[in-house]
Amino acid sequence: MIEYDCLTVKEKLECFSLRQTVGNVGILGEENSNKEYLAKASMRLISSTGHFYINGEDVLSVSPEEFKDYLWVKLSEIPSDPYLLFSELYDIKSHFVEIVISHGIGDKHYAEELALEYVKLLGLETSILDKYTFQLNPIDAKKVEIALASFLNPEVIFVEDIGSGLNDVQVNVILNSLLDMESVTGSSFVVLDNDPAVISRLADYVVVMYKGETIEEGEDVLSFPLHPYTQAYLGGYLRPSVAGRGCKFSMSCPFSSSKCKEERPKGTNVGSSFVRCNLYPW
Amino acid sequence: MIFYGQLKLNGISCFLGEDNEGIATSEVKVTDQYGNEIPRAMIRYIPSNVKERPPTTVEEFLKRIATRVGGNSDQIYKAILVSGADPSRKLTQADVSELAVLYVSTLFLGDVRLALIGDLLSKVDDPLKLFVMKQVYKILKKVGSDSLVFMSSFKYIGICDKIFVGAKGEVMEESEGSKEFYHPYSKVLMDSVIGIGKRGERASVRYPVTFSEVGCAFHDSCELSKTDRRLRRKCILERPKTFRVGENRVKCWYFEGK
Repeated sequence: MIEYDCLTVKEKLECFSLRQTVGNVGILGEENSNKEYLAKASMRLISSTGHFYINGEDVLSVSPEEFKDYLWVKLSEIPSDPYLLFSELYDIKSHFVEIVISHGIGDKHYAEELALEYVKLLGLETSILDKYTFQLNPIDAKKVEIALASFLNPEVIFVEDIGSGLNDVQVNVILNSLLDMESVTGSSFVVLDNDPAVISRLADYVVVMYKGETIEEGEDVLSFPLHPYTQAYLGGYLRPSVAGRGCKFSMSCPFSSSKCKEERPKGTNVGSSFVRCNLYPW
Repeated sequence: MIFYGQLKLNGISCFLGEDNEGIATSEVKVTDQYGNEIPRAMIRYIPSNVKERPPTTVEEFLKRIATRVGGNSDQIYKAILVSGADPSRKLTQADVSELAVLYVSTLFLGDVRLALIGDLLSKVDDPLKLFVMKQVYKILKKVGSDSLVFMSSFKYIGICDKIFVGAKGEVMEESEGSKEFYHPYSKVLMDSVIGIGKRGERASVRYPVTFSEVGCAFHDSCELSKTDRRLRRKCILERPKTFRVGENRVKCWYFEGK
């Protein structure tokens, strides 16, 4: 169960809040939505203010030493670049061993057994554990990345843009691998992606972000989009745009009024969704 | 009509599949329909990995390209008008999709007989891909030259007048505008296009595609060839001949004698 309370990254992420949620969360947004800063701030890779609770515990307020113990065990990340998690100097197996030993969870054999199990779960050949990342094709590297991020059964796994650098066939394969992994682990995924097709299959709750702020969220956002930006996004008629002063989408919005251009919409609940647009409530 | 090696290009021709862009930089004889060779200077290639963002404005960028390729101010004006780019916008502030469209709009400059366009969509965000393809279509139709557009996704084949499907530059199926496809690899590519689905719904393509150096390049991943031992043997050992299936030309042993 995760919860965000006004997580802010200067000039990138504006007071991101998310009420307690069970299951997977999908963060839908373009490259300029700054959604990646949510994962970076949650993993404490950049400085931020606010709170991020996992099962009621604020992981951003613990000491850096304590947080190191949380990594891989409580939260982990599947970056969009499949080679980012690995060092080229060590074989794949060593990465699993290093994490298990550094967290005092077990010995080398225990780590190797776990690694073997997760590699098999993802349909990879066991010999892959003796390889180095430069010997892997992108799809195998991505699968190994999924295995590494989930083998200690963390409570939350951040999954960044799975389609980055992959073609449609490869996206299909990775999407299925994530669904396989979801069915055998107890982890919740926070899926940050620009493809609504991926989000729809992996997320129970969807948040739409635009230029660093949440503009719509709910369980049925992809089936009943309310915000004009979400409608354009899903309808395929989105165009590159610059941020407006009030509502950030006001420069491109077909329903934009002078109020939208001056004031930031406060947001309101419509059905089961929350939407930040002056069109609502009717 | 232009012959690019063995490929007969007409209007906007698209080459779908994996690792095909290599043929854009390979030594290929390019001729018109009468067999006259087209000079290299009249062939323009826009690679998929366009990342360069010189610290200039859109207009300044186009002017510099025009100087290099022999374009004039009318052509620069047309490039700005058709692409819809803001001439005063700095390239450093432009979105990846805007940058892709801007690079394609340089086809207006100078004299272009053939445009080779890399898979620009691979770097563009999903919701803006349609915008890029619409702009590319508009530009290519206005420029009027024949073009070969490399794509990895079947989602945007609507812009194509002619379609080749293949891998590593080898054509497996050729369609003269028909949107029906028969080769097993074409079918996998078609199935791999996914839209918004239900929670937990699996994608239909479950295994990555691998290509072989011998026989039919697709035989390792082909489900169709696994249905018949005689066919499988042939697919593994022999390069397929071309068969006419519907309106398409398909390189697949399955269609032999059908």
